[in-house]
Amino acid sequence: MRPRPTNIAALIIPVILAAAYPALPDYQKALMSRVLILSIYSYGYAVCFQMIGVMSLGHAALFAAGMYGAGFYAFYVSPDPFPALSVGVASSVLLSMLLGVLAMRVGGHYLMIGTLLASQTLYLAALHFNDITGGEQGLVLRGEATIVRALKPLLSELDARYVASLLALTVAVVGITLLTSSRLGRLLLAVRDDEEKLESLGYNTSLLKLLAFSISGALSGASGSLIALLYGYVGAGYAGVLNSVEPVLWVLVGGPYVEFGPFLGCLLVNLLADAARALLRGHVLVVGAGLVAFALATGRLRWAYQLMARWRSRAA
Amino acid sequence: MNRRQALSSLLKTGIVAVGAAGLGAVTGYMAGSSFGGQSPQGRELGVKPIKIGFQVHRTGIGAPYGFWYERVANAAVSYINRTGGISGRPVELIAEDDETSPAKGAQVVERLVLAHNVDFILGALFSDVVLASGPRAGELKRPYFAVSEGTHVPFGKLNRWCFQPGITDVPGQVTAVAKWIFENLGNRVAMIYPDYAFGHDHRDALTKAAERYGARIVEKIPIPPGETSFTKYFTRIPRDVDVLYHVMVGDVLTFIRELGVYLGRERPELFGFIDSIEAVPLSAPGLEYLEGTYFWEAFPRYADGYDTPFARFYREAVGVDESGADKSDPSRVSAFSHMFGVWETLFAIKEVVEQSGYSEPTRSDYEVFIKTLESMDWFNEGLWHPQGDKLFNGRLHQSFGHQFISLVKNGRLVVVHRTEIEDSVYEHPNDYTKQPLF
Amino acid sequence: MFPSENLGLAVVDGLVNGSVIAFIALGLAIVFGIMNVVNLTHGELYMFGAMISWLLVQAALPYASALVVAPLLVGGLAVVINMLILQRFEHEPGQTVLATFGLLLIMQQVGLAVLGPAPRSIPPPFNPIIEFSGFSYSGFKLLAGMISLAASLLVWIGVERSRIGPLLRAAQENRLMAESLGINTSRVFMIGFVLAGSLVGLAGALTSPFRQIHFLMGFDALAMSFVVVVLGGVGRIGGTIAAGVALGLLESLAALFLAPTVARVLTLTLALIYIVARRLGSVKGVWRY
Repeated sequence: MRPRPTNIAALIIPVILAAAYPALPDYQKALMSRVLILSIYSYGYAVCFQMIGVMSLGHAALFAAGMYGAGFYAFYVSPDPFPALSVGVASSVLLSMLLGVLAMRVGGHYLMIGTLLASQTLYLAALHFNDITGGEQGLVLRGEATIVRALKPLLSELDARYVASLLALTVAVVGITLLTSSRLGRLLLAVRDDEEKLESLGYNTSLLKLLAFSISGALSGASGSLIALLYGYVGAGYAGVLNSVEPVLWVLVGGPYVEFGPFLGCLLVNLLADAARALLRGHVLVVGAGLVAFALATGRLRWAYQLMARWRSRAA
Repeated sequence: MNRRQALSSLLKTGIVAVGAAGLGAVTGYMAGSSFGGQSPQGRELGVKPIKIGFQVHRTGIGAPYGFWYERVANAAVSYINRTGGISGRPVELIAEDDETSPAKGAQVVERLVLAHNVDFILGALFSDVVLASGPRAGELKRPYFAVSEGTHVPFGKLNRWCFQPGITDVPGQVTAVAKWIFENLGNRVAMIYPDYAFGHDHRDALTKAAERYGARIVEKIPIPPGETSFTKYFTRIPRDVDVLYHVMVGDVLTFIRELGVYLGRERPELFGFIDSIEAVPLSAPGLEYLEGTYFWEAFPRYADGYDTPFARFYREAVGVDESGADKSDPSRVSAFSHMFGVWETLFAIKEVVEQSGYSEPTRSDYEVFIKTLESMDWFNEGLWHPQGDKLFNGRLHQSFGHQFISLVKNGRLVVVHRTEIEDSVYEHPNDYTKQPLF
Repeated sequence: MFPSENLGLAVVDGLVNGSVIAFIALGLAIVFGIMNVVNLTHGELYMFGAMISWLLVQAALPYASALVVAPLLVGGLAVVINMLILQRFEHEPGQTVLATFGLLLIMQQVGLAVLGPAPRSIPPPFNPIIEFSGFSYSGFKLLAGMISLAASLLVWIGVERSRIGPLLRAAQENRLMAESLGINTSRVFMIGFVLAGSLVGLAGALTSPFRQIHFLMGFDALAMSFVVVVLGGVGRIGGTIAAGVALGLLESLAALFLAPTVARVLTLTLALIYIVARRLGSVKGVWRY
C-alpha cells in the first residue's frame, strides 16, 4: 500500500525545524530543544490514544521508567550516554509490556484508572527508595554522562542539544509514518474502529494492543531517557500524575492527524505556557483559560469523542 | 415575565456579576506583577545595572515560601539601590515563577541566562528545583545561589557554580540542635518525618548525631506524601520514649491536631522543626496543643527572641511585625526561619562583587568572583547578615550559622537556647575548588 | 506484636476515613460514574467547599452556616460550569477533559488568591474527646465520619429508588432517544450537576474543621475519588461507598504492620489487581493470553 500523503507530509516537520534553527534567538533554541523531546512523548501517547483508542492516565510511569533506566545506568554503571539511552528505552518497553498485560485486558474507565494506579505506585516507590532513586530531590548525572558533552567537540552545548533532539524527533516522526502506512498500522486502527470484527477474523486483538502499548512505551521512554541524558537530572517529579495528564492535553489540542497532531499540540501548549510565564504573574490562569477557550472554540474534538465512545461501549 | 424567565434573567445577571468580579480580581492579581523589581532609585544611578535573576515559587507547593522569598528579595534590592547599589551600580531583579517544578525551574534558568543575560541567579528553596537547575547553571556558567537548606550544595551533588552562603543546611541544623535535645529532653527518641528525601535528610542527620552522643532513635515513622489523616501512624509511637521529634510537610495542621487527640496530655517531650508550621500562625485552631513543646528556629519569629539592631532593621525592611506576621495583614505569618537567607545571599553577592571587582559576565570576571567567594571564610553579623555571623566553607560552598531552640509559651515562641556555630559544623570530603571552572 | 487497642484505633480511624473518602467521591460517582462526564474540577469543587467554610468562619458566622452555604454555592458553581461550558459541547469527553483541566487550573489560582499560599484551618464547633477502651478519638471527626456514611447511604437509596437514577442513566446513554421520549436532557444533566456539586461542597464544609484548607488540596481528592468510583464499579453508587470504606480500612490496617509508604503501595497494587481481575472474571484470566 502506498503511504498516505499526510504521512509523507509529516516529514516536513523536521525540515522546517532544521531550517528555522539559525533564525531562532538563543533562549528559543533552548526552549525548542525541550519541546522537541517532549513531543516524542506526545507521539508515544498518540500511538496509544489515537491508534488503538486507549486512554491511559499512567504514561508518566513509562516516561519515568525511561528516565530512571537511563539515569541509573549513567549514574551507577557507566557515564557513557549511548548505552544508557538503550537501557532507558528497554526498561520502559519492559514496563509497558508488564503493565500492558494487565491493563490492555480491561477497557475504558477501568484501564484509565488502572494505569493511574500503576503509575502512582511507581511514583511512591521512587520516593520511598530514595537511597537509590534520590527521591523527590532526584539525582544529578555527572557531566560526561550527558549527550551534550559527548557532542561537545563538534558543537556548542546549545547546538548539540538541538541537533540531538531534532534527530530523535525525526526518528520518531519517520517511525510513526512507517507505522501508520504499514499493515500493522492498519490493523491497529482496525482494533480501534471495530475490535469485535477483527477478532472474528481471527486476529488476536489483545496482542495487537499490547504491541501498540509497547511501541507507545518505547517512544515515551525514549523521551524520558533523552530528558535525563540531555539535561543531566532525574527526579520523581516526572513520575507524578501531572506528567500523565500533560500528553493527554497535547494530543487533544493537536487534533486527529496522528502524524502532525502530537507535535503541534505539544508545541502550542508549551509555547503558550512559556510565553505566559515570562510575561505575567497569573500565568497559570492564562493557560487554564486557554484550554477552556480551546475546548469551547473547536468542534473538531468530536474525533476524540467518537474514539472514546467506542472504548466506552466496549467497556460497558 | 413568567417565573422561568425571571429565574433565567436573575441567573444571567448573577453570572455576569460573578464574571465581572472574577475578571476584576484576576486583573488586580496580574497587575500586581512586578516584572523585575528595578526601583526608580536604581535608574537614577544611571549606570548599567547588575542583573540578578530570581527563580520564585509563586505557584505550586512552594508558594507559602515563594511569597516571602519574593518580598525579602525586593526589600533587599530596594535597600541596596537606596544605598549606592553594588559597586555603584543599581541592581535589577528579574523574577520568574518556577511553579515549584524541577522541569520549569531548569527552563527558568535558561531564560534568565539566554534571554536576559543575568549576572547571577538567586535560586530556589525546594531541593528538586535546585538539583534540576544547578546543572543548567553550571553548563551556562552563571553563579547560582540556592536558599534551600538542602544537602545538594555541600554534599557535592552540584558543581562549582552553585553556592549556599545564606542559610545552614539540614545536617548542620540537626547536628547543632541534637546535642541540646539529648542533654535536655532525653535520649530515647522517636521520629516522624515525610517519606522522601527531605525527611530522610533529617533521619540520617539525627541518627548520626545520636550515635555520636550515645542517644537512641527507637522508632522511625515515615509518612507518605499527600496524606490527610495521620492517626493510623501514631500507633507506632512507643509509649516509653522521652522525645518525639517531628518534621512535617503537607497537611501539617491536621497532623498536629490528630497528634494532640492521640497523645493527650501524658506525652513525651515534643521537638519539632519550624518547617512544620512555617508561615502558619500559632493561633491556628488545634495548634494550642503545641504549648510547652520545643522548636528549632533559624531566626526567631518573635522579635524579642533575638533582639539586635540589625534584626530590628531587617524586620522593618521586610515589613514584618513583632510577632513575625505581615504588617499589613497579621493573619499572614512569614517564613521567618528561611527567608532571611534571601537577604543574606544578596548581600553576600554584593560583598563578593565589590571585593573581587567583578563587572561583566565574562570568563575572567567570573573566575575572580568565584575564587574570591571560595576564599571567604566568614560573614560578619550586621545589617547585611542580621541572623548572625556565619562560617563559610569554600570547599563545600556552604555556610554554617547559629541555630535557635524555642519553647512555645503562652501561644508564642520563646527562645531558650542559641547554638554555637561549631555545633553545626560537620566534616565532608567534598571539594568543589578542585573542579575546573570552565 | 502490637497492643489490641491499636487494632481498635486502626479500625475506627479506617472506617471514619473510608466514609469521608466515599462521601467526597459521591458527587463524582454521579457525574462521572452515571453520567459519564469526566469532570476534573471535582477536587477543586471540594476545595471551594472548604474555602467557603473558612471565609464564613472568618466573617464570624457560625460554622453551621457553612453546612448550608457551601453546598448551595458549590452546587450553583457546578451548574454554572455545566451550563456555560460543558453543555455547549454536550459533554464530549475530549473537550470536557480539556475544559475541566483548564478550569481546575483557574480554580486553583482562585484558591491561591483567596486563601493565600499558606494552609488555613478552622476550629471544630465542638470536639469532645471520645474515650474508647485504650484509646481516644476526636469526637467531631467521628461524628463527621458517621454523617458522611449516613448521607452517602441516603443519597444512594434516594438516587436508586427515585426517578433520578434512571433519568440520569437514560439521558447519558442515549440523548436522542431520551429527548424523543419527552425527557429534557439538559435539565437532567443540570439536576446531576446540582446534586454532585452540593454533595462535594458539603463534603468540603464537613471536613474543613479537621483537615487543613489549602489551595492544592483538591488534586489528591480528585485522584482518590476517581480511584474509588472505578474500584466500586463505574455507575454503581453503592459500589463507590463500599470501595471508599474498604480502602480507608485497608490502609489503616496495613499501616499497623508495614512502613506507611509500603502500605500505600500495597493498597494501590491490590486495587489494581482487583480492577483487572474483576473485569476478567478471575485472577487467573489475567495471565491467559
